[in-house]
Amino acid sequence: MDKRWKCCLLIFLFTCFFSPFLKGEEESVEDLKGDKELQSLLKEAEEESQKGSSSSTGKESSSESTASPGVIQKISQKLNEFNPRITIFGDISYHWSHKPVYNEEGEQISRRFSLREAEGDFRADVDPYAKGVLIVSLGEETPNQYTVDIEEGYITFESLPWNFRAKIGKFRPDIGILNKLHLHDVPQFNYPLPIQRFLGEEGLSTAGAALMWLFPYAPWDFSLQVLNVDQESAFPYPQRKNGKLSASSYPSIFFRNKLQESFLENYELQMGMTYGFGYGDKKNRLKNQIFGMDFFFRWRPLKRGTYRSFVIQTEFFYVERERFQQDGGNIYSIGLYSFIQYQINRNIYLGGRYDFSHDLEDSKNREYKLSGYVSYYTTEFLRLRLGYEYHHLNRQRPDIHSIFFQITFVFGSHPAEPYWVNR
Amino acid sequence: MKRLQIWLTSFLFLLTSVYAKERLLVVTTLPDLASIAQEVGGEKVQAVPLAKGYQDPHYVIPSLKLMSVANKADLFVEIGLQLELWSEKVLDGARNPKIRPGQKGYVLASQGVRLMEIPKVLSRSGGDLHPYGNPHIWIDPLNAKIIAKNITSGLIRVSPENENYFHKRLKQFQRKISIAMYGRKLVALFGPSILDKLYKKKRLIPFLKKKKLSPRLQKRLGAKSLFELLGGWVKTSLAFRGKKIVFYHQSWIYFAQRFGLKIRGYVEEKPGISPSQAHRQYMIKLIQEENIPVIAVTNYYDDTIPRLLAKETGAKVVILPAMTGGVPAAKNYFRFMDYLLETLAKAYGD
Repeated sequence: MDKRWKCCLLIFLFTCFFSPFLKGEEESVEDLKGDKELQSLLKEAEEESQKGSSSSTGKESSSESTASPGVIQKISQKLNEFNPRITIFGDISYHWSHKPVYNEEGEQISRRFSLREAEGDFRADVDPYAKGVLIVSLGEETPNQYTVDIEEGYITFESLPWNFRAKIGKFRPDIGILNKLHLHDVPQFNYPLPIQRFLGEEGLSTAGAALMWLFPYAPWDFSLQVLNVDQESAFPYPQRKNGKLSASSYPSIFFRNKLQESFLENYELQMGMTYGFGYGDKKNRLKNQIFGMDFFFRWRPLKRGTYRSFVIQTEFFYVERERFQQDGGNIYSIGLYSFIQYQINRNIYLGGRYDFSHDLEDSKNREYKLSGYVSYYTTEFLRLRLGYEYHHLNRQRPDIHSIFFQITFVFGSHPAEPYWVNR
Repeated sequence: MKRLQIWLTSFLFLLTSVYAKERLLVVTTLPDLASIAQEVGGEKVQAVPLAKGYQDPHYVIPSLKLMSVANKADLFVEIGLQLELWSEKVLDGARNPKIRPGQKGYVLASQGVRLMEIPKVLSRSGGDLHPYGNPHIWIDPLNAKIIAKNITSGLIRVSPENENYFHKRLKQFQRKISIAMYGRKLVALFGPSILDKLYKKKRLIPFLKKKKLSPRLQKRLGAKSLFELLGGWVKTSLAFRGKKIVFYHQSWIYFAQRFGLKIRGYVEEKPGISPSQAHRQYMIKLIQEENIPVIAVTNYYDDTIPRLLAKETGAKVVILPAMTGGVPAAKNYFRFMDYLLETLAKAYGD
């Protein structure tokens, strides 16, 4: 018999001999199950457990219920959850500048309080496959005159196969990072210069359709957006002739991709690229193109995520407008902005931004802004912001020093969305 | 060269076959849900949490990366009750129709749990209220049994061929919880169901203390009384049962109720609202007057103010994880509960 077999035999004998002693506590108690005394104890325990709640304990809590579909539905009705979730956003500001600032109608728009915007946000599931969003805004276009606008109104298809998602209606297209945000969500007092100059004073919001696709093996998102061309000041800059917009019947088309990665848990990096083209002139089909790159970095320690964060964000845009040689040839403009923001505690954020942009009509004309701000959040629903801005326009116009004070608030059924703080 | 090709082909085949035989991917919002899903899913499941155990579950950023993880999920599990406000955005961005609410691959883990602290008046003047009730339900082992049952139902929906396997695992998990809760001997004697019923009605400890054992049974059981057979978390909780405590945030009601702690107040003035000077003074007075020995803070909150209160009052600050993985020792749901119970028992025992 070789050694291996001897070993096996020994283990077998050992197991046979000691197995009764190796029984677990549970098994040894199981052996007592037939014991009459124990059976009577079990019966008593069963009886005791069947009795109603003891008077000393009463109800576990006066305000409790079982989470069942019925109860949740009942509470949901209370919340109007079967109706759209309704949220109101308000944005009140005071803008002081060392020299009065006037709008195109010659009305003074600085050194006064303004309800810049009030927004009603309605959203709900349309059916198991789609969601609907309607955002109506009341904006103070000129002092004390408010205009109602549908800022966004779209439907999203969330159940498409092959990693697709679609959006159709009027929306803020995915061009860079900040264009997607509404004015009250922007981390500073106003949109950066390149967005104002190249996409529109309040960014681009237009009707169209978007198809988004998520790369299955990495956090990499692609989108194709087909957008209407009907805003005079926005890309692709349709001309007004005889009082009518001379936009091309061809829509503008945008491609975008963004890649996001987190590393060492506390760091997050996002990079994106956008390319778009469209025709601002119907008759001659002069092509306008925009190319954008964006970069976002955030440090946010997970253990203290509500207390500390640091963000760097930058976007760069390059715009090429086609023109006839006799009109001076093509115009090339660039613009960029960068901002940093540091959260010093649960409520306070400090930040600064640099904006630079060429004039779309004349690339020799350049303007830039330097600004700094402090934002104080009492909660996710109320923010106070104080900021300073230096605006260098161009050689023909004087520089402007401004101070802004802003209060932004949210109320309604909108749940607390903490990431609203940063993005 | 040819040999290398064969090896490479075999390796690739092995790799793809392992991949093809892949386990069900269960993506959960919280690590506790992942731990429970792994327990009931066994080798047929790979459970991945989106949040880390030391992260505030309210404040997770619904990044493209999280969406990318949820994109491949066969099952998505969340607590709901407006705890994971970010999960809706993750689900929208995941582009995975299988796991959307109402579909087979979606599990609302809180279904069937008895909810507490449902606000009577819904107003933001009350702070960050959860309209359906307190959502921190997982810090109660008896709720973990319900959560496990909900997850099992979800697993069976997406993988009906493994129904028997998942049912068996669920039973094993529920028994394991009972053993961890009351000790192995009591579970063997009375079974989990009777013990749970007695314990929920707060009759277990009086019953165990009241019942006398004959000398014969004492000898056979190796204990002088039934109470001596009590083990597990309930036994550990005897060190602080009925004692007073102050928590930083309103998220411990289920744990306190289950293990008999008396919550006398919160450091936060209202949920999510930092304490004012007046509230701090009120808390100092309360802690001193009622002689409250412990202020407990979840480890993702700043402990500066609780430490100031402790300095003024002589109370002890205890830092607790709120989820599995919140501290290195809390590797899974059982170790997490062990850590909570032992830390508190030590704090009250010192």
